[in-house]
Amino acid sequence: MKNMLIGTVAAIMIAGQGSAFAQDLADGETLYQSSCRACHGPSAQGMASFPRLADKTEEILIERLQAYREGEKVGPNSALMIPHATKLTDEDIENIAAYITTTFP
Amino acid sequence: MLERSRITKTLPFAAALACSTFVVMPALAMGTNTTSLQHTVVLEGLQAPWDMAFLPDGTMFFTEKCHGLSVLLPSGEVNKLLGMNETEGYATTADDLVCEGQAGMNGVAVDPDFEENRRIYVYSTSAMSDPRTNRVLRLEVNEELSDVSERTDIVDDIPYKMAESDHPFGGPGAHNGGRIRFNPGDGFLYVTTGDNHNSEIPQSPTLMGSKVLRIDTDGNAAPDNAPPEGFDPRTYTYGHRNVQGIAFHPQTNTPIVAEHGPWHSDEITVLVNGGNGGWDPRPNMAGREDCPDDYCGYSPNQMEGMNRFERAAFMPMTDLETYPDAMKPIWDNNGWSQGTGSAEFLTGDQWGEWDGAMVVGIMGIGFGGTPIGQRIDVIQLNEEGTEVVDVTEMTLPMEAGRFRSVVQGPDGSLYTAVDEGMIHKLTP
Repeated sequence: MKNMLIGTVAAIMIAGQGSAFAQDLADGETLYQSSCRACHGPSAQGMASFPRLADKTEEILIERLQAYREGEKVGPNSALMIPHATKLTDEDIENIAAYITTTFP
Repeated sequence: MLERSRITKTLPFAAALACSTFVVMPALAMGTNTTSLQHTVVLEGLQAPWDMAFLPDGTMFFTEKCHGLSVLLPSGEVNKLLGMNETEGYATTADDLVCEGQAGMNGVAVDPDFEENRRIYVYSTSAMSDPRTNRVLRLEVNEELSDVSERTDIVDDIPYKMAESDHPFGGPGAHNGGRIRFNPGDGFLYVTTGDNHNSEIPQSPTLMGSKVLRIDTDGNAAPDNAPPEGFDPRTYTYGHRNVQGIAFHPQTNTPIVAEHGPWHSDEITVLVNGGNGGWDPRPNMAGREDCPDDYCGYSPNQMEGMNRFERAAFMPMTDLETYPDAMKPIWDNNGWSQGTGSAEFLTGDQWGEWDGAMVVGIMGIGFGGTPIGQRIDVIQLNEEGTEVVDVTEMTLPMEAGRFRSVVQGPDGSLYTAVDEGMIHKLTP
């Protein structure tokens, strides 16, 4: 009986985490569609002189977005990236990175 | 259309897929009702499709910026004709043809006498020389439309940006021009070029960037070109920023260009033989001081948004104070710069009141408060083709994209290539 109770609680916790993760991905998708897609493409494949994101790790995506948020110039498209990143919270950045790496592995 | 997009995501990118049977029908397809366009995905899974050119039977040559030249046959089969460096599967490969940034294989045009001479032309970046240049290649296509041969570089000296600079989009290959079109009126080939973020190029008499060249099929200057004294005789117009759209008025055959603006003012300009586009981004002139890497093209405040009209006053796209005789634009995109890089005229009764109107493909740039603005605009001109009388955003039956090329096919439909990797057909 005790084992059953522990199992049920664990399942609820995992389900809750899954639900939270799904919500993070949904938030990341919303941000990607509104702020990233027009240049980086519907599949994060990169377009024109805008780089591919689908081959980047979550860590690199977070690091770059944080750098742009701080106003650092990283590459020739910084003028476009900095204003977009300035608006993002830590959570936004993590959600965008999670959405890209999960959806376009 | 949503369902179609979902399907697209699951298709492998490497596979160019002819899918002429997938037609998304509008609720009502009425002959001249141009708000009810039929939509067909002609090809998808392409690598940065850049331009198309047709034969009368619907055969479509198309370029992919980093892959090369291919042809879509009426049967739906795709033959890969001329590959660039590090490509596979092409009948012929040219290792000197390279891509970087905005540069690569760009425009394509079919010779007006194709039936007799089998010639086509492409504009591509080449590493054959150091520094690299952009070239116009003349090629002959075999009877089977399966290979090309007899490459002749009829232009080999269009400047290419070699090194990164401190500017937006400042990587190598920037402002590369690249559209090529035959004028049905005079039979000459028009070649559009860009300024490479090099402030000396636009007003230079000898550097062939920032120009519209008018040449014959051997690369010789059209005899009637009338640039100022001392200019390269191939120059039809000069003083441009980065022209990637050119079309010819269906009644007068006058060349009209669509051009990217610098954080402000995309322009449509009716060309005048020998005319100056009025773009001169040199520092320490026209009220400006030093600028990053000697190029004022995005100044002032090149990394941050600001009022577009203040920008235009500081660094005009067409500087009529310095060059009072410069060609005045007939449209400036309401002062926005949103990536206006292709142009075509719609012709035929099927277009209804749009018969004779110009269309421009706008790719979208979301910088500093500028609306991204991905769309196709229909620009209606007066009878003489000298003034804009109306502008309508085309109601699209599919998602908007980065509209890189707009070309009317022999079937009277409008074909448009988008950077997302597709070529669409829009039929009224």
